[in-house]
Amino acid sequence: MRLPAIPKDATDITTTMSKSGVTLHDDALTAFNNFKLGGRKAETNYVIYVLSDDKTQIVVEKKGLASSYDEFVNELPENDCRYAVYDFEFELPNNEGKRNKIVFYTWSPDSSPLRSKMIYASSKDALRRALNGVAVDVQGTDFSEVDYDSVLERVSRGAFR
Amino acid sequence: MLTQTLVPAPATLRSRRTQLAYDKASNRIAYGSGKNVYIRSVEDPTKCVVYEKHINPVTAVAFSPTGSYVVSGDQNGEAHVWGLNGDEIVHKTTVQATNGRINSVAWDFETKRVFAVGNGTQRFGHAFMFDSGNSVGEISGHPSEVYGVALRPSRPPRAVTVGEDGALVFYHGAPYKFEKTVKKHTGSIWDVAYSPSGEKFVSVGSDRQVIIYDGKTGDFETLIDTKHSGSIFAVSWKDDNTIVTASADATVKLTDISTNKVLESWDLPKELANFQVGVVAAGEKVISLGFNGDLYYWKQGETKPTRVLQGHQKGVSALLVADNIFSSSSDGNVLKWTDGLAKRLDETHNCPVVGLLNYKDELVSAGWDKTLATLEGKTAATLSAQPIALTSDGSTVYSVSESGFEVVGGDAVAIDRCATLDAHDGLVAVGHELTVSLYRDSKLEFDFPAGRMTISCVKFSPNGEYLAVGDTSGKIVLYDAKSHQIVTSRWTFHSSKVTSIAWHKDGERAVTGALDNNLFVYSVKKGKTHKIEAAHRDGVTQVSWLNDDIVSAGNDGSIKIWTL
Repeated sequence: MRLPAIPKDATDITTTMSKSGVTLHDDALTAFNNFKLGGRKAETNYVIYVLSDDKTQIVVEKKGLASSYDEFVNELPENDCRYAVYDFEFELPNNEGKRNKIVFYTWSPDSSPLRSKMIYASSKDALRRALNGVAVDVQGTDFSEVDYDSVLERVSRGAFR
Repeated sequence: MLTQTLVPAPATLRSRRTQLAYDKASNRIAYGSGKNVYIRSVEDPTKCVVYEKHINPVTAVAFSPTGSYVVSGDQNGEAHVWGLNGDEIVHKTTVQATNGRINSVAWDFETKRVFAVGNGTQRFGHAFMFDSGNSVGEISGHPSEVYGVALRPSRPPRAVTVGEDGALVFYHGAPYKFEKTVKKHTGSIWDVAYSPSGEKFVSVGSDRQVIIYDGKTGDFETLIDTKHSGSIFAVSWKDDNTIVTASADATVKLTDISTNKVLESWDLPKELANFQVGVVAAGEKVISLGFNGDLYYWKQGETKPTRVLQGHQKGVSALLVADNIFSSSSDGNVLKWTDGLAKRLDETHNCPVVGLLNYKDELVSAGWDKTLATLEGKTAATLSAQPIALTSDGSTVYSVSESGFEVVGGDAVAIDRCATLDAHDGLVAVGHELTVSLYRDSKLEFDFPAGRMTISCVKFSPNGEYLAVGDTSGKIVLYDAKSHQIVTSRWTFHSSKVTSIAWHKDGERAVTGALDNNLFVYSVKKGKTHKIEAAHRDGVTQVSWLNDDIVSAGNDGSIKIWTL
């Protein structure tokens, strides 16, 4: 017996569509790939994603080269949700050199509207699954959770052994 | 970076001896206060080393004969042995000696074995090797709590334990085994001590008797008449012929045992605060401890103490940094600190003091007794309700209580469940439950939207531009005091109740303290800039600035000064 043919774009459905029906804008992936494959000469070390106004697509809100981690964190809004990726660079102890790891942020501050929190939580997979090479997922509900020290602790877990 | 610690006083307990330890080699004394052990130089008591690994209040401490190790015991029967190399501390072993309060600890002369005795349901003490924790004998023969222990400082090894039932148990060692019971006292025996040579030992008790025994056999030798008119809590040998005793009659006496003559009697006013509950001979000096935590330095030939060290025994409840640091604690003491040492000011309040501030150009303290008292003890003003906190905006003093706030000497506004307030130029911010309300001239001006957690601290910046609002979850939200908009909600690094916020005079930075023991310095523009972790055990209660340095105080009774 022949199995029904798998539709060609089946994988696309799982990777780009989430439970809430929100899809990924093409630019979102392009921005990530440029960011990821740019190497040392990359023009961006962070990308912040936002849901489009009609809440149907995840689009790039901002990307750029932050000179410090705090500069990137300051781009996160106080009262609304976002997704973000950041190329986290840190030093290993004993001068063992620098390491970079890509961190994915789900920024959902306590003070953001409930509706926003819900739609960001249910749409997260649409973006997150499409991004390969993310080392650490950080869920942030206030600024202490996305603080340099706490992210460093997450990122360097296992790296110091 | 910690630059100075203003050291708390030893913890004392009513009708109990407090063990003081002295190390001859480094000329330092050690005592427990709160959950910490403090080791202070006798000559320069501002120098101190702190051991912070006990999880329960520390009740006993002893130096090894060479001073390179210390054993400390706590309320829950844990004995900690740690190495001491100058100012460096290395934790060695933790042994569960009993399951009750440890009343006394002692080392043998070889710095190998440790005794920890006290209360417990299974046993009243434990003798163990300090490095492995293995048992080296059995504490037996006591039907109830053991108060003191002494080990013979020479061969053959002997040990003595004394207890509540008035029995003295003599052990031969090592391993230490029960030899006999000597019952000469008619009441509880508080303390026992071996002479430096080990020839004799002495016991003192609630029957006011001082009894000398033979060090090797444990046989009764003589009765010393010290003429104490109260229970004798502690005894220490100054040399092989003289002992010093501390008593509940508020005296410390130096007695020659060979002639049975009192050489010196140092008397203090006979009141509970002066009951002498601990004593140790420190070289030529004698150091004794009053019930109120005061440490007295005595010298033969002088009737007055040559020095008195004071400090807080309870958590610091209010702090004022002016030319000097003033601090008060929940037991009602107000201290003034000069060059790292404290002087107690009049104890007007017999209750927690919650505010230290300027009122009508005079420094006043405010306590739960609803009075504002000057430091000379005069009542400056009275309040209509028990205050939680007080604040001043320069010209007016405000007090907040559970049921509202009042202008001292003026109007009162009733609000339910108030927790905190601050004022700037007539504008009063009151935190009650989840909300902060702004009042002017006793009229409600604005209600900030309710937060998620109870408000625990509010503070205006020096020019009144910002209002920092801290809650019981550790979050601090910074509002613009005029437009009432959120300036930043990035000050979220504390993990429990924010207890104190202090703005630097530049109006841009603030230091905050919380019950999570940490201090943070936040900047309006940059968010968190500095972090000081584990500043005070059991929580930070007060923070302030001393120019560009930070002053913090906590429930551990200490005050610390930090440079950034």
